Amino acid sequence: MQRRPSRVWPRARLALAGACLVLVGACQAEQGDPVGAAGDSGLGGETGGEGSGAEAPSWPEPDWSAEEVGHALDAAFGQDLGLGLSWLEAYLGARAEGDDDCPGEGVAILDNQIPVEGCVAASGASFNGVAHVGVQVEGSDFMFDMNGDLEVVHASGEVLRLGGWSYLMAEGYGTDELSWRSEQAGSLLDEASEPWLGEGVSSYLYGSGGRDAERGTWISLTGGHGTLSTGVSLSFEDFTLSGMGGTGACAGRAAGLLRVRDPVGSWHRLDFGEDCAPCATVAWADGTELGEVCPDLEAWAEALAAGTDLDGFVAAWP
Amino acid sequence: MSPRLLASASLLALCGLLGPVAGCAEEPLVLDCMPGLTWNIEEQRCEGWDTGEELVEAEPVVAPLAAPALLRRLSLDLRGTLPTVAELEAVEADEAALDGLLDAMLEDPALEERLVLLLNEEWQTLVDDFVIQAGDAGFEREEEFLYERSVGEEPLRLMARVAVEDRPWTETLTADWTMANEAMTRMWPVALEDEGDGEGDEEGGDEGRWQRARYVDSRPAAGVLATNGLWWRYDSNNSNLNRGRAAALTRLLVCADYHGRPVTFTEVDLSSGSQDASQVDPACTGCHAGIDPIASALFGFTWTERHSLLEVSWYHAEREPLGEEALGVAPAWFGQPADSLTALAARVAEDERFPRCTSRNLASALLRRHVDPSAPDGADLALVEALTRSFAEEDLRLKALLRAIVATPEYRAGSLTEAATEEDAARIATRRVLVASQLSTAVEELTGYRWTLDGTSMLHEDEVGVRVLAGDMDGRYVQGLASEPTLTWVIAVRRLAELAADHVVREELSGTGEGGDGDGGGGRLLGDLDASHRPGDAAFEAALETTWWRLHAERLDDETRDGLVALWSEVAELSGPEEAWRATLGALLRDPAWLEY
Repeated sequence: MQRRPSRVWPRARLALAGACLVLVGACQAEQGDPVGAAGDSGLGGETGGEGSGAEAPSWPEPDWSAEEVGHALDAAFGQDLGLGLSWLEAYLGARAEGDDDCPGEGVAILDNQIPVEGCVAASGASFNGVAHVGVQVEGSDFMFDMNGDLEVVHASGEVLRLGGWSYLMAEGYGTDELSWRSEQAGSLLDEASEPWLGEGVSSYLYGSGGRDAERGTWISLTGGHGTLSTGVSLSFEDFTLSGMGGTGACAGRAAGLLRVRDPVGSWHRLDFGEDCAPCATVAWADGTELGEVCPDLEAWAEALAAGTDLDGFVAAWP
Repeated sequence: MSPRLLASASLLALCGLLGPVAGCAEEPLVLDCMPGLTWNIEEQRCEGWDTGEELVEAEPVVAPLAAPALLRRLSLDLRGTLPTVAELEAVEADEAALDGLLDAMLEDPALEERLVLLLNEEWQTLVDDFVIQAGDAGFEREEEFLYERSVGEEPLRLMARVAVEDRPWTETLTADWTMANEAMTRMWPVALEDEGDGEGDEEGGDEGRWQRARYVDSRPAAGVLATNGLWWRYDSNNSNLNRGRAAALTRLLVCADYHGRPVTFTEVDLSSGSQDASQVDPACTGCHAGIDPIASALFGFTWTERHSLLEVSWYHAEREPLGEEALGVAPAWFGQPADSLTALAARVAEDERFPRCTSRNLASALLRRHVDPSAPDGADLALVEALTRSFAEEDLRLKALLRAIVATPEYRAGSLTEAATEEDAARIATRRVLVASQLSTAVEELTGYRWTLDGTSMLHEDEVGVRVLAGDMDGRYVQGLASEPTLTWVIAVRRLAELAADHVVREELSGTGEGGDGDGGGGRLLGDLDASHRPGDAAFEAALETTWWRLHAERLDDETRDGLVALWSEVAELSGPEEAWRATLGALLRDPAWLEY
C-alpha cells in the first residue's frame, strides 16, 4: 500500500489550472489553426477526418424512458450519497478493530505507525496503508477531515478499502439554524457496512446544506456520485433541494441541473431551472425530450440530510 | 513527379518490381493506385501521375534477399523464431513455398506474441513502473514481472487479438471486451470469459494465461481506450486534466503528435487566468483547441488519489461530466461531438487518419526505421498511401496490412543496388539487429534455454534484466530499438550465448540439465549427437551443419566448417568434448552474422 497519500486535487471545485503551461509542452502560436490540422508533426498536410463536411454524429438510443429515469433517481436518492459522516463512520468502524499495537493509538494511521507490509491486530483485523483523520467538536461547531489510502480486512474477513478524502464542517448543530459543507472525493468500499457501501461508491461531490425556518432542510450539490460497480451514476451542477418544513416559495422544489447516466453510457439531463420547480423534463444526450418527471423531492432531501445528523455522533464522541 | 516517387507509388506492383520471388501470384494483379495514378495491367505498375510529367521507370535501389534469408526475416519478425530445417529446405527447393509458409506464419499462435511487441514499439506500454507498485497491488516480489507485464500488455493484447482473429482493426476502438489473465483479476474489476484450462503461460503459469475478459464496472465500450493498462502507462494529474493522455491518443491513433509542435512560451499571456489563456490566447489555442475536447472525454479515468489501488483500478462514471466543467469544452474528436468515451472511440474509428497511422506505425516496426510521410522526397507518403489502400481493401484486417508490408521491396531488401543514393542507404535497413525480445524467443526455440532470474525474464525488463542493454526499448527512456550493435548489446549477447550453450550441453549431451534424460542424445538442437561423437562422425557433421543452417539460413561452407572443427578439437583436447561443444556453440551463438537478419 502506498504510504503517502497526497491530497493533490483541489477541493470544492476543479481547479482550472495550468492551461497552456501544463499542456503537453506544445502550443503553436497560430490563431485559428484548425484543430489537428497541418502542422501535426510527421504528418504535414494530413487533415483528414477533421470534421469538415462531417455528418452529424449519431447518438445511441437510451435504455431508459423518462419514467425509468425517475425510478432510477428515486432508488439512488434512497441511499446515502456519502454526504456527511458516512465515510468517517465506515472508517471508524474498521479502526475500532485495531489496538494499541496495530495500528496504534489514536484515530489516524500515520506513515510511520505500522510497517509497510501492514499489521494484524489482536482482533484478527489487518491494517495496511495510511489515514489522516481529524475531528473537532467545539460548542455547536463540528468538523471532521480525513484522507487516506487504506485497506482494512475486518476480523470477519470483510474488506474496507478507501482511497480519497472526505470532510464535513457544520455550524449550529443542535440549534434551529444548522449549516454545513461537505465533500467526498475518491472511492470507498466497505463490505462490513451498509449494503450500498459494500458495492463501493465513487464520488466527486461537494455539498452544502442546512436547516432554517424559511427553507426548511435544504441541500445543494455539485459534482458526481456513483457506485463502483454498474449502478447508477449521478452528476450535479448547483442542484438544490429545498424541502421539509420550509415556508419559502421553493419548499419542496428543486433548482439546478441533475444528470443521470443511462446504461448505454450517455447522460439524461433534468434541468430544474435557476429558480425552482417541482418537475423537470428528461432530455437525452442528443436533446430529445423523453418526458417529464415530478419526483418526491422532499423524500430526496430527507434521505440526503440523514447523513448530516450529527447529534448522535457528537454525543458518542469522546 | 520524380522517378523515385513513381517507383514508390507502384509498390503494390510487387511482382513487377521484384521479379520472380515467392509471394507473387501467377495471374496479373489488378490494383488501385494512389490518387492521381492508374493501374497499367500490362506493365503491372501504376502510372499517369496527373502532373503530366513524362513517366520514367525507376531502376530498383534494392536487391531482394535470397528466399531462405527472406524466410528467416519473415519468421523472426512474425514468429520471433528461426525457420525450421524443413521450412528452409522447402524454400531452398522451391521459392514459391514462401507463399504457403507466410500464410502459415500469419496463422501461427506466435504471431499474437510478436504483435504485442511490434505494437509496443509505438504504444510503449511495456514499462517497468506504473502508478501502482507491484507490492501495493498485492503481488509478491517474485511476481513483479508477472504484474508489470499483466498491466503493460493489456492494451497490446487486445489489439493483437483483434488482429489474429482477423477482425476489422476498428474493433480495437469499439470492443466491449478486453484481454486479461488470472493475475489481473486479483487487482482489477475484470472477469475472465473462460475458466482456466490448466495450460499456463510461460510468464506466470495459469496466472499469466491471457484470455478475453470484461470489466465489471461501468466503463464504456471503447476497446483499447477503456483499458487500465493504457491509462496506468499514460497517467495524468490534477493540473494536466487528461491533456497529456489526449495528446498520447492523437499520436498513437492518428499520428498527430502535439509534442512535436513548436511553441513560443514568450508569447503566452497568463495574466488573464490560465483557463482563459488556453481558450483564447493564440499561442495556446493551436494545440488546446484540438487536445482539450479529447481530454474532456477521459474524465472517467480521473483519479483523486493516484496511489490508491481502488481509485485507479475502477472506472468512475460519475466524473465523466467533470471534463466539460474543468476544461470548458464538451468532449469531441477534432470537431466531431462525442458525449462519451464510446462515442469518442467511434469518431476515431471513422477518422481516415486512423488506418493511415496504423499503416505507418506497423511499417515503421517492420522496416525498422521511422516511416515519415512528410519527408520531402515523398517516398514514404506514397508507401503509406499504398499500404493504407491495401489495408482498406481488406476491411482493415491487420493481417492484410502485414502481408502488404512484408511484400514491399524495401522489406525484402537484402542489399542496395548501384542505383541507390546516399539517402537510400541512410533510410533503408537492409539488415536488422536481433534485439532482446527476439533473442529471447529465438534462442529459447533453438536451444530450449530461457534466461530468467527470480521469475523475471532477463530479456524483457530492465530493473534486473538487460532489455535495453540488449538493444530493446523500455518505453520511457529508450523509445526505439537499436539500429546497430552496441557495446552493451555485445556483452548481453555474449552472456546469453554462454548460458544457452551451457544449457544445450547439459540437456542434450551430459544429461545433467533439469530436463535431461540422463543418457544424452535425442536433443533439440544437436540431433543424435552424443559426447562420444567426433569430427567426421555423421552425427557430429550433421549437428554442425544443421545448427549453422538454422542460425544463418545459409549452408555451411567448408572453410567455416574447418574453422569450427579446429576450435572444437582444440578445446576438446584440453577439456573434453562437452566443454568443446560449450565453446563451439557459444561461438556460434554470438556470431554477428546470425545476430542480424
